[in-house]
Amino acid sequence: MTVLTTWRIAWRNLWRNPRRTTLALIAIGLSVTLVLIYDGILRWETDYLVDTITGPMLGHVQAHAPEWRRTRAMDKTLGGVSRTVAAIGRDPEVAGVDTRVYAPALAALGEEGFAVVVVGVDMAEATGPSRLLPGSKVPLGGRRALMGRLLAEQMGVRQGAEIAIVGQGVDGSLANDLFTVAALIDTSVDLVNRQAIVLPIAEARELFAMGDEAHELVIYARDPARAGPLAARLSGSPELAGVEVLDWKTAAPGMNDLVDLVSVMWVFVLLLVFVAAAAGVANTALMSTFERTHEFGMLLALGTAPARIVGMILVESLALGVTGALLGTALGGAVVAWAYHAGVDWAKLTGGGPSSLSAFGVTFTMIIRPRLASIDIVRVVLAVMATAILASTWPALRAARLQPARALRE
Amino acid sequence: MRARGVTKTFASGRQEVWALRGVDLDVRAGEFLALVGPSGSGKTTLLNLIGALDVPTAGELLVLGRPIAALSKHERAHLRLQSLGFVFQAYNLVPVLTARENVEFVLELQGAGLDRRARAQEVLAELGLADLTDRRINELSGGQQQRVAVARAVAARPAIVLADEPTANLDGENAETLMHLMRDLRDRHGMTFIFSTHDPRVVAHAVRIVTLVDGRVARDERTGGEPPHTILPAATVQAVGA
Repeated sequence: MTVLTTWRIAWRNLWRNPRRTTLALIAIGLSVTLVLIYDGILRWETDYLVDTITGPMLGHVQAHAPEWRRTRAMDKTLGGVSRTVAAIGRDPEVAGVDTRVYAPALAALGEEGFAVVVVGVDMAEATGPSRLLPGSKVPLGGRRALMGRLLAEQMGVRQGAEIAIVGQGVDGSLANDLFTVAALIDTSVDLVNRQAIVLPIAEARELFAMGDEAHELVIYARDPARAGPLAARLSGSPELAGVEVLDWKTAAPGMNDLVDLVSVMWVFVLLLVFVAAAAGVANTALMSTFERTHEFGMLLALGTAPARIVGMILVESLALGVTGALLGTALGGAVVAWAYHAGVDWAKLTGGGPSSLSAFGVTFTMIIRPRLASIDIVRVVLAVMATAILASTWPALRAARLQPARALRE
Repeated sequence: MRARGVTKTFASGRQEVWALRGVDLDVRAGEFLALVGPSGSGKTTLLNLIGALDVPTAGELLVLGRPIAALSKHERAHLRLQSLGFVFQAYNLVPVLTARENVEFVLELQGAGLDRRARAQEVLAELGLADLTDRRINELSGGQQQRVAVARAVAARPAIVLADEPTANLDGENAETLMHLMRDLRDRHGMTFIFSTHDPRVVAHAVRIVTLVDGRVARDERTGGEPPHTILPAATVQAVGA
């Protein structure tokens, strides 16, 4: 019996009871729709978490002098940075490298002083999309600095104010100079908002008497999922010999756990599909095979092999499952596409909740833009197919084991 | 077909019900045999055994030289598919298929090649259904459905066709036409027909009549020579029972 005949019989059998089949399709379709919406939110959340964690601050891979992460000492710097950055930049998997300086200092406005962290960044890298200062057009240089808005509010500093920065250079010398606050910044990094004064790397180096040095190289991978292998490869390169090279998951395990937690929620999603699809398919398969005992007896009497009877019933359930899954995919995909473009404000949905959330020193937006990858759809459809087969296996085996003579009497 | 002391019992609760009590019977190729007898006499049970749908409790039953009791489930299914044709009282066609697809279905199961559609068309035409091949089963009358069932049974030219009360649900005219068609097929293709019936009009077409009573062969008689039979022209077949 050809596959085509089996599918044709299966499809027509489904519509022998249009009401039951329609109800099953609605149940499967709606469950797939809900799963895809949920999945879209999870994917957005995972991607957004990774982007928010890695983009502005951590990067996908970091390089520091040994001991710098533990001590944060000014003199634990990487040397020959220009040559190293150029070498890293030649790696085809590297999208960019930000050179950072972090220096504790005192900032004073008038007579009052505050502890701050001066962050020197490569402005060309830091103003890129999803980075620390995305799209910032504020001209810096000439002793002009950016200041975290929360820090500025605490200090009573306004845009245009002149502040004094006093610290210690890497050589132990006194570092001090006057800077004009060019703009107040709101980033997704709490440290920057509350404590940071951001300078172009060249001015930060000059202030702290640094040469071609940096405390940290923040490396961005073209494929964030390959951060681990990239870190391993870079750590073996001669330019980074003796340097601590870490991927972001190792550098910030707490944040990685957060991302992993979201991924674990997928198990529950699959369970949801399994239960909903199983209920729809199992009910239909059971009812349908019990009603057709006589017909299966006739097919067996004609000499149809029991395996073919099993195949026919499984294909019937598969046809039901796949049709329901495709309907659900169409609906779920449309809802996700709409939500992606429109953006769903969680604060409005929950009647005035917070519009952003801070965790692990990072501020997350609550505007949800669900998105789906093709693998999400493939996964759900495969889950429905597997469930359809599992749910109809028992009815199929029961039909195949019928005694034809006895079944014909029913 | 050769039966010697064929016995069949069924369990009914704690009791044993004897359906056949030592049937002896030989059927030669090309016979047109009617199994008659009152209800419960064992006609359907014997047909089921000859059709390898069931196995005897005791005795020897050879169908086309194969000992039915010794065959596995799979071997019996293969025997049915390749060598036996079935016509059931309630037609038992696949309701979601058309007349042609029902015939093609069995040919396909047998592994027939791409000519199966033409073969299905041909046998349906032979049974006067040339214009109805693409009709779904529920669009056909009872007589037409039973002719489709006969077409399905004979399409692969089986050695034996077994028919269990084939005319039970048909009116007189359709019953008469069906018996004519079955005789036609037997005369043209040399198939053996064994059918159970209560219907005297059907019995009148039989060449041999075996009467069962209480699970035993009570009488086995051959009619005096072949009853008169004229092969019906296709136009007549189509007109009757349309």
